[in-house]
Amino acid sequence: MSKQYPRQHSSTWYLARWPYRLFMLRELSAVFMAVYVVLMVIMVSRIYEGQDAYEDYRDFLKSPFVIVFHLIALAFALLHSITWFQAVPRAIRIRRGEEFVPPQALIGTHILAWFGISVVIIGIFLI
Amino acid sequence: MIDVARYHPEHDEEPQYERFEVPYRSDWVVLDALNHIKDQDDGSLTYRWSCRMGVCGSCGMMVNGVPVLTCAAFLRDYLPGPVRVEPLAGFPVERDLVVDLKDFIGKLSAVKPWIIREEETPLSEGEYKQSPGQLADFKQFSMCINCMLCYSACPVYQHEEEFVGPAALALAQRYNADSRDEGNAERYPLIWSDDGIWDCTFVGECSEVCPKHVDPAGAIQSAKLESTVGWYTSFLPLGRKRD
Repeated sequence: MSKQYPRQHSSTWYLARWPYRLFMLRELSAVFMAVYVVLMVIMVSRIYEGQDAYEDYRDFLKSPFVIVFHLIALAFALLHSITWFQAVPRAIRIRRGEEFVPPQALIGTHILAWFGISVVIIGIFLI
Repeated sequence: MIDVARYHPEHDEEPQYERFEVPYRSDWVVLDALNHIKDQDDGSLTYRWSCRMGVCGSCGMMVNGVPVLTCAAFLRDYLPGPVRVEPLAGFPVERDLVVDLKDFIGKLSAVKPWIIREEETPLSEGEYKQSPGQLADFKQFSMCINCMLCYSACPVYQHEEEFVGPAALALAQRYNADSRDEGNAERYPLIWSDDGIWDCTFVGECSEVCPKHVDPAGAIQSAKLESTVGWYTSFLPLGRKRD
């Protein structure tokens, strides 16, 4: 049998094309979400420690670096959430008779539910 | 201008690119250009093709880095060129543009892509009936032509050779969703394994490059959902037993 050229794989495959780059950005969003959660946990801890500790932490949160971080984290959160909801009809196929529920209806329902739950949570914190 | 990857196992250590000039015609596809090269320039150029109409699935290659059926890839879409033609990514190369199919064929048969019945009904009792709705449940997944473009687009398969891969998993889902089939439990150990659906990170390019709109990524996500629901319901008194 003649010699085959073995299968190749590149360690920079994700740079090759835009769909792969977007996938990696979606994965990277988890890092920003994790850091955001850590900042939240620290805030809860500071509140527990008392008003002075909380005020100091608020000053830290107002620094330009942290604000820029939050803006980037927000962008990543939106990217992750929107692509997540776009994926819903791929995993959930609901058939009515011979037709499937249109993907846009499933995506729209989930986004509405997301928006509604967000409003309720924000409402609870504001009251 | 077409740059074609050439690999001669007898004397090459790795593929080389050879540039050819082909006449441009707006209705020519990349496969026409390859046929022109083989007829006019170099009869030793080796590649697979058959139907020339997007049905047989044998002319899949990388064109400018994207897996496509070369019979459906018009030269006019790659103007002004040059066009780079390579064998499908992720597979060992036999010669020039021909890849080794063994791994794929093995995985295809491993998912048992046929109707499994616990007990065969005698022919005298007629066919297994199915409603149009039940047909719709799996029809999309049955359109696969085994062209392997999805494997070439899948970075998981490129890095993990054990991964069962998009087409085979979509085909497993096709039979699992078929109302006439009773073989789900026989397929689950493989498709629910670490080398099965859980290896998939949902890059999604398998579905984007699929010439038949099979949506293997969707099939895998559906199977993940089934697997998860199955695992949780296995804790209920009447739930399915865990494997």
